[in-house]
Amino acid sequence: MKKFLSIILAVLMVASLFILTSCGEDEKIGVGVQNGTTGFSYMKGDADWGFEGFDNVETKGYENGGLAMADLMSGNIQYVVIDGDVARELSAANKGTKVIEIPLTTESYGVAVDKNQADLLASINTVLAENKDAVQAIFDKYADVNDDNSSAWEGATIPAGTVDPAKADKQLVVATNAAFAPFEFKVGSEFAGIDMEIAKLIADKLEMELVIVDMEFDSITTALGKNNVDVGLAAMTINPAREKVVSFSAPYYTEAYQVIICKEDDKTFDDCKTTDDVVKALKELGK
Amino acid sequence: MQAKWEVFYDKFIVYDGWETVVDGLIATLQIAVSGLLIGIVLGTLIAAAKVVPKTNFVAKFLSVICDIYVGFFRGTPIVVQLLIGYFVLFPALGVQMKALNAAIAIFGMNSGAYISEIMRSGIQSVDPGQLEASRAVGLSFSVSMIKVVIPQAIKNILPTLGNEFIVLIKETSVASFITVVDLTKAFKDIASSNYEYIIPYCMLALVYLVLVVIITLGLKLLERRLAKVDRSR
Repeated sequence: MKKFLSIILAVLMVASLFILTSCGEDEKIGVGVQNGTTGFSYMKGDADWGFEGFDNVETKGYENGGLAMADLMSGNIQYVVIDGDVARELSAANKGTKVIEIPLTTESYGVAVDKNQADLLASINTVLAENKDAVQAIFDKYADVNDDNSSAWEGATIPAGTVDPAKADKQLVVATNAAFAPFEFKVGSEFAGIDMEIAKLIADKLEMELVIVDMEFDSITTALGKNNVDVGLAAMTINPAREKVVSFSAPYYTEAYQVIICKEDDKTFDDCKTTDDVVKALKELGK
Repeated sequence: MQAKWEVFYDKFIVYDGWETVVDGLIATLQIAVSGLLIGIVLGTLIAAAKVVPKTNFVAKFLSVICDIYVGFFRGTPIVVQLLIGYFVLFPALGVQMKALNAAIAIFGMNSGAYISEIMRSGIQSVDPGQLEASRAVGLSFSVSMIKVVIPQAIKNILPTLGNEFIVLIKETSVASFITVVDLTKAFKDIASSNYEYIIPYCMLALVYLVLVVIITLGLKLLERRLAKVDRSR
């Protein structure tokens, strides 16, 4: 029995060494991104996109931008990389941060359509082409950043609706990730945002009932074509990897890009004027 | 199907995806082992506080505190504990830790609650006659506990502790909620970088299965060894 206990004690000592070596503060600078988004691929590197990634910093993936900002505020990470419009909202909501207004990428958002519904894709493209003014009006409505965008959606939030397999072809089931203001977000139990209003526009023009399904951003591409889900509208950048799995409509927003959010007193990027300056500064972080 | 394998091979081997998986495996094991050890230490302390006869006020007070602790950690889901701990509690206390250490701390506290119940039931399952006899012979409460009751309780406790370890390994799969790259997150990253989910997810399940089977075999050997000690008496 004694031998047994001494073996256990030895194991305990080895294990505590194990624990101790994993202790300590981060040595690397931390950059927060949202899982599955372009920002994630940009920081980690992605062969399909042609992003080299930055291995001098530690890229941490969060469920959504809000949680990344929470960690930025508490000091666990130093920067957040996310889409420009969303960054402005997040920075406005978290006092003491600022957005470095230099685009890191050029992206276009499109409506993701189930590969097996070519007719739906064609109809959506027609609607988007014929209603360019209405779409622009939606963007203009949300261009003013007040605290919760209420000036834009006041009194006109969109209810989720329920999926009814019996009415499958009369329903336009839209998958989204409602944690991305101003594109899609929840107000109580209903939805609001640029993408949501575009979805309503498309559903109205195609005379279908709009049903919105909220899920993790990563799951949207796999969800299309299953359980009656027809399209995905979630500020989704058109990229070659995604195009292998889903079809994209014509772009409805071509001025999308990634930006950096940091604390107000962080001077690292203050002197940067162009994208190359920012990339150079990013590569120097932590060195 | 062929194309899916090629895509997976691409990301896994050609683009060094396997490094992330190995890192994730190490992180998972670190959280599980360290969490278990912290849990055993905490669990023993709490079980001791609860088993001691409640003669004076201090004992009663400690017992109530332990009840509250166990109640909280058994009454809330581990995900909620992770989110509250990492995003609310630690920043509020001004504590800045690596996400991995925060995960270890929270899993440790969670295990501590469950393990304290395991310990307590192990101790109480020893024939009360043992404690009475050793008190009658003249040993004090603590000596009779440490020298007589607990060695017999360990035989009951060890297999259940092994079970708790297995549960912990699987529970760590939600550590990605607080940005820890564990085994699950590593495979999810591979899957979401090229949108092919079938093979990575199946591989993920396979790795967990192999891990748990290895640990179960280890536990069987342990139990056999313990039973041998019984027979030779």
